[in-house]
Amino acid sequence: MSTEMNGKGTATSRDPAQYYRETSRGLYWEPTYVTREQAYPHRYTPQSSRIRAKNWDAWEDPFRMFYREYVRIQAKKEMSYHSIADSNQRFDVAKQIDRRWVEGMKLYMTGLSNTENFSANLMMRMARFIPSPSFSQAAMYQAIDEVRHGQNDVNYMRWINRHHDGLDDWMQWFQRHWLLQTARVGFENLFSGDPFEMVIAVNTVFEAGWTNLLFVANPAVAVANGDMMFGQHQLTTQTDETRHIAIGMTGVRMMLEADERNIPVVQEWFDKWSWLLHRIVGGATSIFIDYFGKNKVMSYKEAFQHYYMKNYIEGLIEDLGPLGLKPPRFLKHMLDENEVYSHAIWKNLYEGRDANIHKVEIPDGGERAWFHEKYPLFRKLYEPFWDAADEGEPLQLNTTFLHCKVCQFPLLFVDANNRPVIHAQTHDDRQHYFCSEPCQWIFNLEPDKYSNVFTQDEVFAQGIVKPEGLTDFWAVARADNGQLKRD
Amino acid sequence: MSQKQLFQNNRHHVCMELMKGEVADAVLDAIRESNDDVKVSDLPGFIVIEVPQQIAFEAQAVRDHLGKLDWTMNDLNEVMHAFAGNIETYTADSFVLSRLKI
Repeated sequence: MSTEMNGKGTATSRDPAQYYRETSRGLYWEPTYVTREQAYPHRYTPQSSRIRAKNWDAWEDPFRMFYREYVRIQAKKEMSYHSIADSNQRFDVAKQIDRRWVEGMKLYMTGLSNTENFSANLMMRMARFIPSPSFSQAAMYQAIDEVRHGQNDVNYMRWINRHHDGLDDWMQWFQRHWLLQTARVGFENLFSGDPFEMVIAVNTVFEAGWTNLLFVANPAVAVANGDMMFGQHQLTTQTDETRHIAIGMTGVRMMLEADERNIPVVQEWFDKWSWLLHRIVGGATSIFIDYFGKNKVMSYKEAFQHYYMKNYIEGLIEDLGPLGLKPPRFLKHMLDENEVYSHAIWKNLYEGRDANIHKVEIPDGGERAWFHEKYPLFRKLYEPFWDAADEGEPLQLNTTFLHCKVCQFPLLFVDANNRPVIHAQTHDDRQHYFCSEPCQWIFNLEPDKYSNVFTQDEVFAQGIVKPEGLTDFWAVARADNGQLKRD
Repeated sequence: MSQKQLFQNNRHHVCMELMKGEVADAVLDAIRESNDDVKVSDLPGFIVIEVPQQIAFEAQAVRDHLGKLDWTMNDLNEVMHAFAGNIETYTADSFVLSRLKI
């Protein structure tokens, strides 16, 4: 590619491909004073990789980012984000945001700011342990991206907290809200995993498959509920994800092509993380789209069809199917659960509303009619509950659910006949419970990894928290959820 | 729902989503100039551009429509928040997003 094409002194006179090579692989060297193994000791990885790497030196970031350009572009993104933040501040836009959406943001930004920081940590592990200089460099940019996202999340909370009380204790909230424990254990699972598993989980499944639901479908709902700042915030985050997605796609392709023995390993991680991210991201996103957004744009089920099924899975399998990748093993379970996902979670949140950091409203008649149209099972399984709430029944749970040993979700799902879904299994003479068949399958891939992680109900069973102390255990000071004032 | 039903309507589209604004308008104009069957959806905050099989455009066309000489292909990253397909070509001059040919 000519470097003079659009020359004549414009900023385009340098070919990014060439410059990229000079500044990534061109700066790498093979160690000679010590062996490569001594320079990158395996003891820092929990296990040596199950992936047989070949020719990773040839890997290139499809966007061919190099540091100077990275800084220039990210600075432009930040400038435009902060000018919109300023404008929102100047014209008191926060006052126009629907209060219910603000309540949702307590949960959303608490979860997101913390998980972005987890991601930054993961990316640095990738940079350290994946045997490719270009990949390490791309992973370092990703780490900086994630720090930017996490900081913007906190900045958003600071902004909104000037107009609406109750967003000031996000570090503590992250440790308390049950829905966020799914994210916490998910990332801890990855920290102790294979570096290539991180690439599959974070870049190929999370960022390519799920972030569009999180950062594109959600902002559309936010804008409909008066939150313009959120729209800009999430979309600017997502522009970084496009780079991560491109890395994930080429990364998984490289693994599949390198050695056919990699194929079952990649498939196993793909199956595992497709399901776990359905829990970590899907569960939370479903309630933002269906419940926290009072003005509806699309149902979670429709968003999933568009962003996950059509834009992600179909294209991925069309492209990588010939290399041996199959659709996620538990896709049908995901689709089945999506019929009730948001409703099951919202009901559970309502039952535990005294302990939540946010308000949980009863859906009104218009919303219920909308749910009938979008979710055929709503009328039979969930509407009677809200009818009872209308009649003033307290519907409060003063106990804890059993929790899934793998994803830490409460066992809150019911089957089509309204019977609880519980899977159980004994391992090392201990009984473990699972929310679903996929979680049980994941447990059995590495049972020792999960069996010593306590679930919430196991913490209670050990007497660390007494039943009468349950609300206090979950409750957090100053989180005004509309029911409790505790300060 | 069986998986067979799920995959029957794959129309092999590639897709780019851009945050609305003058850059998105210029990129869209550049795409329209050099691609057929360009379908655009308007969503809150962004546009979705879908084209069968492949999207291709030149940086110069974007500069012409934008009226800014210093726009480079790397600046695409500022506004493109989602895509579906594989980045086949990414140089100072041209961008090609297509379905992977294995």
